[in-house]
Amino acid sequence: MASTLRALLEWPHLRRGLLIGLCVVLYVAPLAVGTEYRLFIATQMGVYILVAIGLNLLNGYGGQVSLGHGALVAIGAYAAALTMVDLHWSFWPAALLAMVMAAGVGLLMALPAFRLSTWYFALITLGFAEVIAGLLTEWRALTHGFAGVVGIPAPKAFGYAFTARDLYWFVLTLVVLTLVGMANLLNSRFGRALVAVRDNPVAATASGVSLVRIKIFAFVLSAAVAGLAGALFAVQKTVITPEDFPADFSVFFLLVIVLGGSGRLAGPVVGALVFFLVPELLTALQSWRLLIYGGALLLLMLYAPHGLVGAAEGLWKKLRARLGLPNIPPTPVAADAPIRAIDGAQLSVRDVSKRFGGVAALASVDLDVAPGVTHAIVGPNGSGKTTLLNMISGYYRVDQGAIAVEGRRTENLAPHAIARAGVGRTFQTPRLLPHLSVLENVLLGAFTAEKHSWLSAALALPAARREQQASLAEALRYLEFVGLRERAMELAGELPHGQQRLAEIARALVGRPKLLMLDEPAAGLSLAELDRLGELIAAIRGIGATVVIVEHHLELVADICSRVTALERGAVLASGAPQDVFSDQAVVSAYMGAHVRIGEKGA
Amino acid sequence: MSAPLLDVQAVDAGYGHVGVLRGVSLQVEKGAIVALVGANGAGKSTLLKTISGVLRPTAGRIVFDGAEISGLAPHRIVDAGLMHVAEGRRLFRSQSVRDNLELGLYGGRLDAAAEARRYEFVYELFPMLRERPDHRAGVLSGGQQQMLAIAQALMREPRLLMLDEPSLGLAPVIVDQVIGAIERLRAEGVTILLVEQMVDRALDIADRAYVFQNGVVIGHGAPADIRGGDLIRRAYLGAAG
Repeated sequence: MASTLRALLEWPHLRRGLLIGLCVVLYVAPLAVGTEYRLFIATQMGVYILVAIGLNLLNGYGGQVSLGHGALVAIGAYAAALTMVDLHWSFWPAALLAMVMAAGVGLLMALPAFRLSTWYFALITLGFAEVIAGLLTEWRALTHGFAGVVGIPAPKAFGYAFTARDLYWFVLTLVVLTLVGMANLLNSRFGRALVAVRDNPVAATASGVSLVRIKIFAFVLSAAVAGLAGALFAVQKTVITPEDFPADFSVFFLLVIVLGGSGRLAGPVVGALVFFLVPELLTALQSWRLLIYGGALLLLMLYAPHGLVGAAEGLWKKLRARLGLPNIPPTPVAADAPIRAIDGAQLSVRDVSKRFGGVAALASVDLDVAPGVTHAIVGPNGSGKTTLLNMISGYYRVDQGAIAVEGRRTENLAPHAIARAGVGRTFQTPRLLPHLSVLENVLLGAFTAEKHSWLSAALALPAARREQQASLAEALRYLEFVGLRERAMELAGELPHGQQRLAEIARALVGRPKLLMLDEPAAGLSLAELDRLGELIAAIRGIGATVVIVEHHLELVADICSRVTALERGAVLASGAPQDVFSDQAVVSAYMGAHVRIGEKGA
Repeated sequence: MSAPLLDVQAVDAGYGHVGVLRGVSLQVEKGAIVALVGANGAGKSTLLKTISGVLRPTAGRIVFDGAEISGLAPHRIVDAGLMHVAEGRRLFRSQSVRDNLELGLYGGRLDAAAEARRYEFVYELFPMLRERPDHRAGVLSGGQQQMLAIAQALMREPRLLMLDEPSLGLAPVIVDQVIGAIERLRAEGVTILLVEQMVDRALDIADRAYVFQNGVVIGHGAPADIRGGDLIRRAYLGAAG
């Protein structure tokens, strides 16, 4: 019994097989059991699922709470219905208009999201939903007020009008295509960027992701899906009135996602089925509905905080573990190729100052790093080393002075633009995305190296796949380079500290930085890892990249760096070759202490 | 020989379904410095978390000063006199340096004079803290935060102090001070369990050391024996290579 089960679970195409089987059943079912009522309910479910898939992109993956998504559906529904009934458009341009209008409004909704934190923003979207609800009833000249829009015709293709069954198949097809496209998209650089913006905006910008553009992208795309669902809603119901879109309509979709499992691909599907279908089956309990919802939600939060799909995943893993099967997927294979050379950039920091309130963090600091050189910045804790890195990579504004990379001024650029200009970096506390695999974290670093559009990613066009394969090969190569290939598929959050650092270096390298800045890469590394780090940095220098490293391990610095700058209290104390700086009396007393004797080893 | 202050007996522990520690036993004598060494991922931090109650052992017992503490809530374990400075500078970032130190006293039963002595003690250890009592912890540099985290743990006069990578991110001259402080704490009767990647520095001051590999103790003994033996090479190269 257990062995047959194990053989079944080990079948590599299990998931795909189940999904295809499910699709076949859904496509064939109406021929056998397709009563008018069932088709109506099933089509409506499909429309709701579509809305929820779109909202899941924004909320589950993008982390933005929108309580106004139902209003976007209403806009799509009215746009399609009014053009079809009053202007006699056919369904196809009407649906397109519905998507464009919803997307346009979604774009407007996105704007406050850049200024407000999550919950204030959620309130704004709720207010927005109220405004739309008001417009639907009050702007009678356009919307026909409470009477609504009546007699919405069925979609037609080549003169043939869709029956209820055709509409069901059509909606089912759209749901399947949207899910496949969404899966492709989430597996691409856009999906990783979205999660990065949600979980660690600093890591996202350091990989060249523009927070503004990714958020707008998520809003617009999820709004367009809501608009499409609205158009389908209209033709399916044939009559729409403002009462179809009450204020809690929006809230329901958010609940659907939480119920199903936010940030999980199947979450909105399962959530919508349970949320909208169960009440249809339990019409006898109509008056108890809210109480049941409330109780179910409480239980869910307690026992399945990641929704029904999250709970199912947990059980699945437990089952596999019990049968002795691994829960870590196999590392994907990719073609092997040598690591390509990088043209190191020249860095010049001229007279840079920075004050925080009354404290001078940096006082007219100069730093020159020639192309391909490995340059260390050392100094006591609080002397401004990390501040200097943060100024170069754009996280702090420069009060005074100039910074140039390859002769191009960068001091007024945003962090993601500086990353795109070829400045990669790591952080003192590794900034990985804990819920993504190590490999996915490293792939995030390839965000700017890949050029394909979101559409070609969603459609999995050959050009996009080629690029993704190239990134994958490169990511695996760099993971090998830092000694983490065996752990590529584990969750990054489960790696020990030292290995998280190495993974972060691999992420920066995948972006092929002309200037790589490492903030205390050796902190917390074991002796063997230290050796590996030394080799790693030497290898990075061998590729040609310029490296700026903030580090307290002076032996490492002496081994791998040809230049050292010592800071103290925000000013340059000494600068030059390591043996000169480390024998400078001021540096020894301010920073090194009695225990460290760097010069003697070689002498 | 008297009973050890901390006695870890055949402990298994891990995260969720992932087992990390397998049958770990270890003793820390009163007034000693015991170092845990081994590659990253060997389970050293996991052991500290299990001792301090953040993780529950799935098998085995942990006895502190004659009383079993495995399964107790973390704050009870702190009350028993066992303090854990975790990796990663867990501070109250929006609170001032001084408030962070005061929070370190929370739940303790020191009188005003004793409290003043604690402040003096940590200020002497890390003069930087005395210089900027009103700075928010979040604006301190990484190394300064590390100093504050250690200082915070010292405020309650722990009997057993567990330090996870105290040198992390500290300038060499400060590492010297921290190492000196650990020795001074021992002289004052504090028992110390130390995880440190600067193995040489740790072995310099330790009375005994345990070597970890893949969640198992592969050996223990006096620092000189550990240094001379084959264990360290095995522990680091075996796991990493």
